[in-house]
Amino acid sequence: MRQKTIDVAKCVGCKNCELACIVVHSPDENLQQAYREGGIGAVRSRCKVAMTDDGDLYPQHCRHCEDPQCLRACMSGALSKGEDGYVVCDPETCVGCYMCVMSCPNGVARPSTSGRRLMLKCDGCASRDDMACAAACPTGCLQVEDADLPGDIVTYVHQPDSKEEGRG
Amino acid sequence: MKYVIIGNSAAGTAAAETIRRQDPAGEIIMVSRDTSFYSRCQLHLVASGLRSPAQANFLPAGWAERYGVELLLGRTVTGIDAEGKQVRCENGETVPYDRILLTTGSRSALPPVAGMDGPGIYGLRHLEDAENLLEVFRDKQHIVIIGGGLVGSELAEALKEVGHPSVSLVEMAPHPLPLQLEGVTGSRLGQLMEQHGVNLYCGDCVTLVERDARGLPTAVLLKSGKRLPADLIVAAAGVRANTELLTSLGAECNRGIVIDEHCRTSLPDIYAAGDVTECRDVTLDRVMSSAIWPAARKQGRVAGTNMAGGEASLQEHTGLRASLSLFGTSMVSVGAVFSPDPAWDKQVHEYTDSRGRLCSKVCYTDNQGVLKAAILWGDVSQAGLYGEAVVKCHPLGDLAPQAAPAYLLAEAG
Repeated sequence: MRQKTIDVAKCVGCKNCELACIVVHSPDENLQQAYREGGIGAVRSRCKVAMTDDGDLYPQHCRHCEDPQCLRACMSGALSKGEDGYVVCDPETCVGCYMCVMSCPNGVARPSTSGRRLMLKCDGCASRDDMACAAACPTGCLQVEDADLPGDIVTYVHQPDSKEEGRG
Repeated sequence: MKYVIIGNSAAGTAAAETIRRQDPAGEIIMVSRDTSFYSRCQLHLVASGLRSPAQANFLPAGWAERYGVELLLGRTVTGIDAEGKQVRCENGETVPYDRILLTTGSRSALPPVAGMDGPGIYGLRHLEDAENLLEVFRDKQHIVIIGGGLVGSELAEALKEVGHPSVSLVEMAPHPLPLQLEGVTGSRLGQLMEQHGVNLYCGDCVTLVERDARGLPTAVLLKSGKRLPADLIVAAAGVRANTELLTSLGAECNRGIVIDEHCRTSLPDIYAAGDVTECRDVTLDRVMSSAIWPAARKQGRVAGTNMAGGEASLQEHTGLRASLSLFGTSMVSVGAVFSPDPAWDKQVHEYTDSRGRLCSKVCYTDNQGVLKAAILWGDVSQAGLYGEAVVKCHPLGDLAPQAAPAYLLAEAG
């Protein structure tokens, strides 16, 4: 199973992960084209480099939780957890009620900005050979390995204190 | 072990899945008056024709087979024989059980108004309600929706989206969604509805339904004296929990059946979950209903786990969360925004996001700085963090709108 580790201490806030994510989720994997045709609303990264009020950088990525609250809240049946442990959204079934958004304790289930009512979340690049964000990470903050560890698929190390308890 | 689940919606199906995971051999029988599976949260979409009844199914194909659930659909349970441990159906069938789960939900409560009884009045609780509305609404000239809560507001939006020329919404409170929004965001929603053609009557209520010689509704009279033409009336002003099966057995019951943190009723081997129940809500620390989909699913899982001999309890349970999108604007409400403690501090932060939308964050904190309730308007992408802070009693901290640098806020859209 492909698992991702996020070493928060290694994040320099370059946002290469965000760009890579936008590119692989644009219609033709072409960022400029997606922006030209759909404007800023058409491009939305599934991950995000956020900042805590202490000024720490914090990469916000879906953890593909063992007990996924987004899926638990889904009223349309669009969200499901596959054999590989990844929680994915079927855009045809999603009605954009955003109860997943309301329920994700990590703030990584988000509304689409394209104008269509649709939730967006990390799909783990399940259909790709690599994970775009990790492949684009120049610092080793995002690392992917084949493992079969229990718990969430994506795990954090070196979390800032303010994020430890609250699973920020 | 023989498990009987009455009801086949959010709570009942979540319970069935959970029971099966723990008890591969047990017999699971699901009895329900409904004849198919559908998401009640999508009824406004079905009623307006935006989605088909089949699309409202929230379960994957082959669900019952996969979880080994025997379905007895289209059957109304008329009684539970707690001594003999069996349920009786309207058609005379009896179904024996060892443990039973009641997920009978609630029904539309018609306001006690003269002329309310009779044809032309619709609720929106069951798939057939939605199908009935869909069949008639295009031929009706004036639709009046009584109640501007979640159901009424979403239905009004859906009916305008499909182009109905006359949709009126009557709400007793000063603004729509009185349980989910406060004054600033509530009046903004009112304006938004009016901009999109909904005739909004807030701070008012229906006092009389006028009918013609054939008994069909022609108008409603409001307390303010206004008279609205109405040939189709939707009652969305509250619900009543379907508690009768257990109240007749003497179960502890308020407006809903009272359950403990294990989803047990006061009667042995009888569990309950979903809209039919009341349980302790973590935000107000009070026994109350939690009539939202995620809460029903959670209660269903907890009930199922305990019925099958496992150990689970309702942790951080709350029904005071809502998410909806109306006329292109998303909003999320968490906590008791409808009755803020006078000691709470209220901050309203407004900003324009990168796409020019007006966004608001309304945060209520106690004197320790702990987030007690919040409303996000426009940009809801961080809503889960606010919800988590409310149930876990975290300080507002990172989430305080003014704490984030302006460029991050601008980007948050």
